Amino acid sequence: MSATTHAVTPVAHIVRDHLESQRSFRPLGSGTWRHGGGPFADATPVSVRAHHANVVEYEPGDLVITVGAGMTWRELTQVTAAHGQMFALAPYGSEESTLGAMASTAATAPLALGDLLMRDLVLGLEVVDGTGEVLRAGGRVVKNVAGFDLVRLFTGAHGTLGIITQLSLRLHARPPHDQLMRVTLEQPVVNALATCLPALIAQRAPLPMLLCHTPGQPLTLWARVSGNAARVQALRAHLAALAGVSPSDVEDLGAIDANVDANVDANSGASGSANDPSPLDGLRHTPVDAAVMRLRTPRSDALPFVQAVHRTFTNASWQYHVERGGLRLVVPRDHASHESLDTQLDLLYHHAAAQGALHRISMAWDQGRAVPAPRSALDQQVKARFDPAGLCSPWRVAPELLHDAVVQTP
Amino acid sequence: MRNRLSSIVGERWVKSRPAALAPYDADGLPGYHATPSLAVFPGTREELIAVVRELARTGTPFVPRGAGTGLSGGALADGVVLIGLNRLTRILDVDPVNRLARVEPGVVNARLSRETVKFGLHYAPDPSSQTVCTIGGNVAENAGGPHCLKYGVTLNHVLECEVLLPDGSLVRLGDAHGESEGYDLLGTFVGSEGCFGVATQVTVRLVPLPDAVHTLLADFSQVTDAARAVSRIIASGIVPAALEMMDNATIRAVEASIYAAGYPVDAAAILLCEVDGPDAGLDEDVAIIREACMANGARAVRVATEPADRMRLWQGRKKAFGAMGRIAPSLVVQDAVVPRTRLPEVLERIEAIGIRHGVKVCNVFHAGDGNLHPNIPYDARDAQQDARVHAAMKDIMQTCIDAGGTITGEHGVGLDKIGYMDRLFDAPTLDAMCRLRSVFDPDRRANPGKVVPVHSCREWAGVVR
Repeated sequence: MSATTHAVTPVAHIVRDHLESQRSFRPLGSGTWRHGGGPFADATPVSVRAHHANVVEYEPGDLVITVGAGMTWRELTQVTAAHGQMFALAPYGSEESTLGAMASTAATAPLALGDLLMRDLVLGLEVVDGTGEVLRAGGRVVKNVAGFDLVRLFTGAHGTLGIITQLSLRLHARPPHDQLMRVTLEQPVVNALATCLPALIAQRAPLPMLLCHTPGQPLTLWARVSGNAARVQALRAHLAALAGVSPSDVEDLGAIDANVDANVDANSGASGSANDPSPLDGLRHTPVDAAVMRLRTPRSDALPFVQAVHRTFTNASWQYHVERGGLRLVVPRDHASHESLDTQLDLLYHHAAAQGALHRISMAWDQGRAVPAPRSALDQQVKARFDPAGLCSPWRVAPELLHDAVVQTP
Repeated sequence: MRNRLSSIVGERWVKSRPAALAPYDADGLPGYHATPSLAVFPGTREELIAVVRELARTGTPFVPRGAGTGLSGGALADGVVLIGLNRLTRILDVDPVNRLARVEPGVVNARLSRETVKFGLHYAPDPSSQTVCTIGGNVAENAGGPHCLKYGVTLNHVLECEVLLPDGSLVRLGDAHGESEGYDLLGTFVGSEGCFGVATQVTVRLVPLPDAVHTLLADFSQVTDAARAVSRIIASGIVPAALEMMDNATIRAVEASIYAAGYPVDAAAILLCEVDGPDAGLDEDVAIIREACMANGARAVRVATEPADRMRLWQGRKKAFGAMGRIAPSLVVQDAVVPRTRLPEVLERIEAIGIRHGVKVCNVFHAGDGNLHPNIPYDARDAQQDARVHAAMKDIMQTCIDAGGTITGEHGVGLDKIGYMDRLFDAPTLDAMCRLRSVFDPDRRANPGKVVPVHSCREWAGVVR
């Protein structure tokens, strides 16, 4: 983001108007995250999509694209697919999510290629901060240590420091094969966990995997298997061995982005039918009427942790990301009143600690409600430096957002 | 101050005489010298904390320093206290199940991998100076290295830091067991070049050793052909572990040195390309890369699979800077990044700049990332040469900026590149960097005078809104 570009963006004008009249504001993308993060304070939505939804610069040979933050993941995928390239994350939630929202929330994703996170893929940002300044941080190259890292600061700040209006994103060339595979573990869930999870934790192959549970159904193991044909064949056999089945029992669900290919005419850029969701869509789906939590624990505690979650939240579905040690828990609304969630969380800590190995659970809420807890003094100072008037996305500001719970092993 | 610090660390570990301070008046950047007012070397975390708290109590500026291998002048202390961290060398824990290690900042990069190999793990970021540079220094500079193409830079491998802020308070940034919630303050700390405080402990991610590794050496009669081959390889969907380029001047310097690796001395450029991972499929990757090179004018491609052969090829690359010592007593190792597609054009322009200024430019760099290292061997004692070198470097940096690139990919801004910052970023963005710094170091006492020019900071320049 060169020093030569000084244009004041439309969003900057809107933000400056709000600052002048001391009115709170918040970024609005596609509106797919309206339930995120608990109750709203009174803040005017500022539409990023209305002003910044275009491709600014794309040189496929560089595997970097610069887009307006209001562009959706689906739109981006249409552009990159035409060049055999991809943005390596397909986040939970809607394909209509804007990239600005994905960056603002540091959106995680199922089966990210090479264990990449949103923070690894954002190379540069244009942001209107809470003082109304237009900042152009980072750049359009894949390595960059020039100056203090404002890109990392704004990515995952949930819009509390400013509104992202433009992003430069790292792309990847599609590997020759990039398949979604699934194994059904036919044993009862508790037995399957005890058998399979330690092996999954110990495995060393480059195999992004999710262990998934839906109430009333057997446990399933999903994997993203990428590379050339020989490697895909070998990884498939490895996956089967981990699950204790034969390679023929591993379902090949097709190219991981098959739904995009099926629904998008790359030449016209038009979307086809979206009524035929792919298996990947199933993984990414976030029900509206649910509380969604992300919990983490050390890999070494995976078994008692996942067992405790399963035992406690009997009506919830969950996905355990093997490499990151993160678990995404989706609790249906009728089981997700604040009181019942508190009770279940207390039980989770109790069950986990009772099984001996759990040292720590940390969690964040994607949606459902806010959880009171203090944030660090440094966080508060960052907020004060970039949004001194406190007008920027006030509903996401501490103390509502985060909750860290520490459970000591008895 | 000497007495007060001596009472913390012992008299032996505080240096104040000019002769004792002389070894610390430069880092890896030639032509820049600055002498600290004194140098203090804490031997434990507790001593380090006490030292920084004493400096905070007295409002004394300081510069943290690891092995002093930095190439941007970031560890120079000009009349302020230098805190040497190279006695803090303990590997505190290795946790093979969770694949992480907790270390003190003075642990040498290569030692960490050596000590974790027995668990089938290693620390992936591998700067060329990895046999001497420290993890704390790597964190400060967000160091890279040849294998960062696949495995990522230091930031991708640091999970948590215990940080001693300049006011003497301790904070813990990040989370050893996953991406932390809230503002990514660990992400801002890594690469902050010692301006945000001092890491007292660093928890790093360890990654499994690959089952197999194949290293290719492709030689080209045209530099631009090699650059085009790079784009073709990356576009194939293979992510090599490393993809490095060396030009003829560098090849000749290496082959004339004790680090000779068997590179073809008549090649205009060579590519070193490494693929690793599960054994299955590696041969196919090698075939695709070979084809990409041959289709772009490679004269030959050979493949090393035996560890000794691979090590020899890598020795030449990693010791290339040292080999240039045969050419001249000083060496400027520059560090800029350009979009990969601009590599052929930028390399041609760099060659022209060298001719125009009458300096010899040797290129050895991380081609897969577009991370250039134009190196100029020269004699820093010759004022005329020194002026020509700096003029050439300025033109090279501007060329990279004009090509849509940046001024540093892994060495940091330090003192050397601070003058380019306002060419790269506009005033509001530089001011925002200052605001971020003020969260950690409101008095600007940690590594003063580095990274962002003071005139860019409205707060510190006296233009507080």
